[in-house]
Amino acid sequence: MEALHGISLNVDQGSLTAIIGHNGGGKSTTLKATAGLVKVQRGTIHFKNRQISNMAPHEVVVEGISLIPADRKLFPYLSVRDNLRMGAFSKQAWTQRNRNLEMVFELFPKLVQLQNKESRTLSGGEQQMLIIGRALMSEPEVLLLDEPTAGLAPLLVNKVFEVIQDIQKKNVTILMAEQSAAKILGIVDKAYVIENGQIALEGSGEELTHNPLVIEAYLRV
Amino acid sequence: MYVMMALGFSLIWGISGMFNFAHGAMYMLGAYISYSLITWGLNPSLAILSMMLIMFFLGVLIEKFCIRPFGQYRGTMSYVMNCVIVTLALAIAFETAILLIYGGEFKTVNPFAPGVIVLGPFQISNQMIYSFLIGVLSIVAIGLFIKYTRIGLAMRALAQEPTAASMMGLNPDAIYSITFGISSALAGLAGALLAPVYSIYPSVGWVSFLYAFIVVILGGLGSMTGVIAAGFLVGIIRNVGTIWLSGQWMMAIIFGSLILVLLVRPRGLFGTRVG
Repeated sequence: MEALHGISLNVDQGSLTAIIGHNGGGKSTTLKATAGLVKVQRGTIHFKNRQISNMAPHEVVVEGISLIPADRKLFPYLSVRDNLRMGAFSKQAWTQRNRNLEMVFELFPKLVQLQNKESRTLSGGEQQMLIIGRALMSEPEVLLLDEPTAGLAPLLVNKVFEVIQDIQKKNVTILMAEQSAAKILGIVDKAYVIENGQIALEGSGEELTHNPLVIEAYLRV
Repeated sequence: MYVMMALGFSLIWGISGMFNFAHGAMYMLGAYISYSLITWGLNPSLAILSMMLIMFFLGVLIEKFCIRPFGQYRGTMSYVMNCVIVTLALAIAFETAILLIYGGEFKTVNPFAPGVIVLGPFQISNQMIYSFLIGVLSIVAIGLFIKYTRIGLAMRALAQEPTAASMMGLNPDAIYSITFGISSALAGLAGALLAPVYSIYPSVGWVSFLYAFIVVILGGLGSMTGVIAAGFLVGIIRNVGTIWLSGQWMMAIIFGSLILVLLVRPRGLFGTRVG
C-alpha cells in the first residue's frame, strides 16, 4: 500500500525544515523513508550528491542522517549512559564518544544524575531528552525528528524547541514532522504541508503563517 | 559446564530469538576437533584455542547460510520453527559425519591435566579442577565482554530494540553472526574440557544440550545472572545427587524442580529481559 504518492522535498543544509499536516497524511513515512526504514518504490533520495534511497538504516546513519522516531524506541533495560553510548555505535562516532557524552550532558544536565538508571524508569520528558541526546551521539549532519513534542507538557515543548534550535546552531540540518503547525511555524526556515500522501503547500514559515488555507486547516484552535 | 552451554544457548535465544538445536552438536564437535588436534600432536592449550577459533567461524557460517535466509521473519513463530528444523537437521548431519569419520565407539580422551588431588575422603581429578577454572574464567570473560565492550553493548541493544539498534549504525546481521560464533565457540570449549572426563561419542552433545535447555529455562530466558545461578544450581544438584541416587532419579528430580519453579514463577528464577 502506498503511503506517499509522489512528493518532492528539498532541504537546505543548516536549515530547520518542518513537515506539517494531519495525522496519517504521510509525514512519518517521509522521514522513515529517508532513514531507510521504509522502502522507496519510485523516486530517489539524495544526500550530498549521493543516492541514499533504499540504503539500510544502519548505512544511512553512517552517511550522517539520524532519525528520532515517533515512538522513541529507547533501549529500556539499558542505563541512560549505555543508551547514549549506543548512540555512538558507528565506528567514527565511537572514537568521539566520550567527548560527545560530555556535550550531551551539557545540553541536558538532568541526565547526569540519571545516567546509571535504567532508561525505562525515566519520565516522558526525561526520555525525550535522552532520545535526542542519543541521536546526537552519532554526530549527525542531518537530524530527522518525528513528532518530538508529542505528549509533552507545554513547558517541555518549549524546552525541546529551544534544544532543537541550539542544535541547528551547531550546523546540523533539521527536518521535523510536527502535527501542530501553530507550535512550529514561528521558528522554521521552511515548511511543507503534506496531506493524503502529497505535498499540498510549501513555503517559508512566515509565508505559511499568513496563508489562509493553512490558517483554516491548522491554525484555528 | 552447564553454565557455559546454557550461556551460549541463551545468548542466541535472547539476541537472535531462535532456538539453536545444533548447540549440542557444537559441544560434540568441539570435543572431537580438539581430540583430533591433540592426537595429531598439537599442544592441548593450542588445540583448544584453535578449536574455539574453528568453532567460531563454523558458527558464523551456519548463521550466514542456514539462519539468515529466514531473517525477515524474525519474531514470528514460523521463524523459530524454521530455525529449530534447520539446526536440528544440522545437528543430525554433523553427528552422522562424525560417526562416519570416527566410528561410533566411545573414545576415551586422555586428560591434559593428569593426576588427582585427594581431599579427605574425596578424590578430585586435576582435570576437573582445570576444567572448572577455565569454565569460570570464560564465563567471567563473556560477562565482562557483554557489559563493557562496544560489541557487547550492541548485542544487548539489539536484543531489546532491533529497529532502534540499526538506527544507531549497527548492522544486525553482523551482530547475529558474532553471537552465533561466540555461542558455538563456548559450546565447543565445554565439549573439549569435559571430553577427558566423560568419554566422547557422536551423540555426546545431546545430554549437554538438554541440560543447557533446562538451565536456561530455569534461570530465565533473558537474564545472564539467572542462567549462571541456575547453571550452578543444576550442576550442584546433579553432582551431589549422583552420590546417593541413580541416573533416572536424577533426571526426575531435575525436571520436577523445573516444573515446580515454572509453576511458581513462569519467567524462571531470575528471568525478565536481557541485561
